[in-house]
Amino acid sequence: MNDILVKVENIKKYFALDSGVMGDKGEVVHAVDDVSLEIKENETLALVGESGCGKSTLGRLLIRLLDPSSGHIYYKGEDISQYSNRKMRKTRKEMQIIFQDPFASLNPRMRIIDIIAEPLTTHIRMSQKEKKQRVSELMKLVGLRSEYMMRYPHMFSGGQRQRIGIARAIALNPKFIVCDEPVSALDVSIQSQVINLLQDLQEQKDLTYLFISHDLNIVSHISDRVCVMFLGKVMEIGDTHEVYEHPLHPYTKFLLAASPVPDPHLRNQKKLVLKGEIPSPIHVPSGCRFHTRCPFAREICKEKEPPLVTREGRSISCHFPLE
Amino acid sequence: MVDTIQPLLEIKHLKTQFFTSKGIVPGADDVSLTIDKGKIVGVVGESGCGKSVTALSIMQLISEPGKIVGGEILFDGRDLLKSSKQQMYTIRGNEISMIFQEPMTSLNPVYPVGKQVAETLLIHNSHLSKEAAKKAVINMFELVGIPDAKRRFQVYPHQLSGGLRQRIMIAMALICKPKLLIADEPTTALDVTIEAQILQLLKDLQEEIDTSIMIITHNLGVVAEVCDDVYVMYAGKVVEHSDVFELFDHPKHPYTKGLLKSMPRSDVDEQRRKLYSIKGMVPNMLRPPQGCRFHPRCSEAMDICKKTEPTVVTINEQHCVSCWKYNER
Ligand SMILES: Nc1ncnc2c1ncn2[C@@H]1O[C@H](COP(=O)(O)OP(=O)(O)OP(=O)(O)O)[C@@H](O)[C@H]1O
Ligand SMILES: Nc1ncnc2c1ncn2[C@@H]1O[C@H](COP(=O)(O)OP(=O)(O)OP(=O)(O)O)[C@@H](O)[C@H]1O
Ligand code: SF4
Ligand SMILES: [Mg+2]
Ligand SMILES: [Mg+2]
Repeated sequence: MNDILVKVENIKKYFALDSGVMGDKGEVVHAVDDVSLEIKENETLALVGESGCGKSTLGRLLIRLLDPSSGHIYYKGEDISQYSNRKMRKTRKEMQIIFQDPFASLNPRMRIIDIIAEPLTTHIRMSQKEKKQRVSELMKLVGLRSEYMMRYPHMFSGGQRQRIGIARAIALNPKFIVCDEPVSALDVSIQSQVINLLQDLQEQKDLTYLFISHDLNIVSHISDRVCVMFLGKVMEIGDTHEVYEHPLHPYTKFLLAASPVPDPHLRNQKKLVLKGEIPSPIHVPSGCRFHTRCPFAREICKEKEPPLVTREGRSISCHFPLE
Repeated sequence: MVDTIQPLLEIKHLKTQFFTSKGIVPGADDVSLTIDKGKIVGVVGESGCGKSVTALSIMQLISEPGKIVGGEILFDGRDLLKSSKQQMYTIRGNEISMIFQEPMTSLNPVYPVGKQVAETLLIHNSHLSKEAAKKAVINMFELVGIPDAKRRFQVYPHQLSGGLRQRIMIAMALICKPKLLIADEPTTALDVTIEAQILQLLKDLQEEIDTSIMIITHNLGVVAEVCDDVYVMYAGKVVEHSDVFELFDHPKHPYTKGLLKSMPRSDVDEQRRKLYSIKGMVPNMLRPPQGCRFHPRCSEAMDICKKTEPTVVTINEQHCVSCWKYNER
């Protein structure tokens, strides 16, 4: 059994929206609404769910890029949720993030060498020569030619920019990396290059990943366990293989069925189409927040929120789990 | 007698170029493509390969610095490239309509959505009364699955979710019962559960109003879900086209094969296997490679591939490929 590296308990993040012009009361976005989960050392936990369900917010909370509204975050057993900035410094070296958009996430006015070395130089004092040396190593590691270190981001393609982002993320030898949609902006033929790189690095450096994605095919390929979110809440967590083979939460089942499969022979086999639109995270439905779309919903689902129940490594939040 | 399938749209050797300050970009370079009546045809390929340019050329909505410099576009017997501005104006939105890649920019934010759709209908059917148009629009809203259609007639675009806005776009595109619907990435910005709804809707509508549909996407999953025929584009060219089953079962072009192999799948035994990846990256279209445009990335390239452009080889009636590997005989 692997040790637990990161753990969150009852974490919440609410965003207050500016109150409207007409003076109506300010509204609150329930971005992450009472989430508890654990990430084991050296595993890849995937976070899936539709746009706005709180994946990025949760990812940022875990590495304290955002402060939680309430709840606890443990890293290696220590509660870091109230750490001061100074105290976070040491821990932060071990936690990094890779962003979705390789075009927006790199400062266009900085040279590649400075972009990659930025986390290094903020934490460690090093000479120019050492810096060059280290950046050159990192670039080779992610498959970039080190001759390019004096160039600017706009001279690189999307896949190359994502490699730059990865090189920067691993510069300080982190243990835990939040990968927030790291390949979503990339072309199909480039996606697989970056996925392979992430997997190689994980093996070489014993990394632990939180892998955020809405592409269920990629998630099944890369993750050990998967966490399905809906409107700020966890619907189901379990071994990826088992969840895909046998989803227990209705939402998981519909999500899997909706994901387009690149095989025309399977096209008519899965006529499961979820009705309705995604409800607003401002006016969250009562009871089970999935009930407005759930074909199995009964009276209790509108009234009572189902708790997240864990049995044999599988957690689900549903009054009527599938058989 | 054998049923002869009639082509609705035939693009022959279309060339559309962009005359930029840095040089000429061959956006669509000798593209030939056929859409038969009542079929759903997919056009796939990676960013910048010329999918939208091909579609916009059909609509003749290519703007500066772009220009259609060659080819024919035959629609229902007429060459669109020889049609007058006025003729194109009546064809567009009426016989051929398009759902554009950016849905937000194609709806006017200051008009109620119903009014916008009604306007499209009235432009092409001036004899209709306002009341009749409104009724037709509400019917169409219902057909494309917009709940509460009567009330939705009055709302503004920003009051709708992405999925509903996309339905409005589809309603607008279909309101004149076009013979051809061109849908440029109709689901890319949508969540998977909404994407599944829209794809199902397109399939149903195709059966119901017998429209031919051209779907542009970079997602092979979407192609597998809904298309009858598929065109694969790379760097401005069609490199392979085939019936959808044949394409997935027996891809011929090294690029198509590479794309299919590099897709992660959810079959479980595939898990954690190293993914296949096509080496290198998409070429700079200001200076596309000589010979076969795919040769710098192709694992099967031969000497001839670097020098001479491959010609189209017919594998069978439904399947053509542009690659030297199949050209030797
Ligand atoms: N700074 C903020 N202020 C107000 N609302 C916010 C803020 N950040 C996020 N939200 C809202 O919180 C919810 C969750 O957002 P989040 O970005 O975590 O979703 P996500 O699951 O990552 O979505 P996507 O798949 O689109 O990236 C959304 O409704 C979003 O609009
Ligand atoms: N207005 C323009 N000026 C210059 N070049 C253009 C213009 N519009 C398109 N191009 C070029 O034409 C080529 C084809 O572009 P097109 O928009 O058809 O790509 P696409 O296949 O639709 O890609 P995507 O998947 O990103 O939408 C690209 O190389 C693009 O840079
Ligand atoms: S023509 Fe040559 S380079 Fe082009 S795809 Fe075929 S084998 Fe590869
Ligand atoms: Mg996000
Ligand atoms: Mg396009």
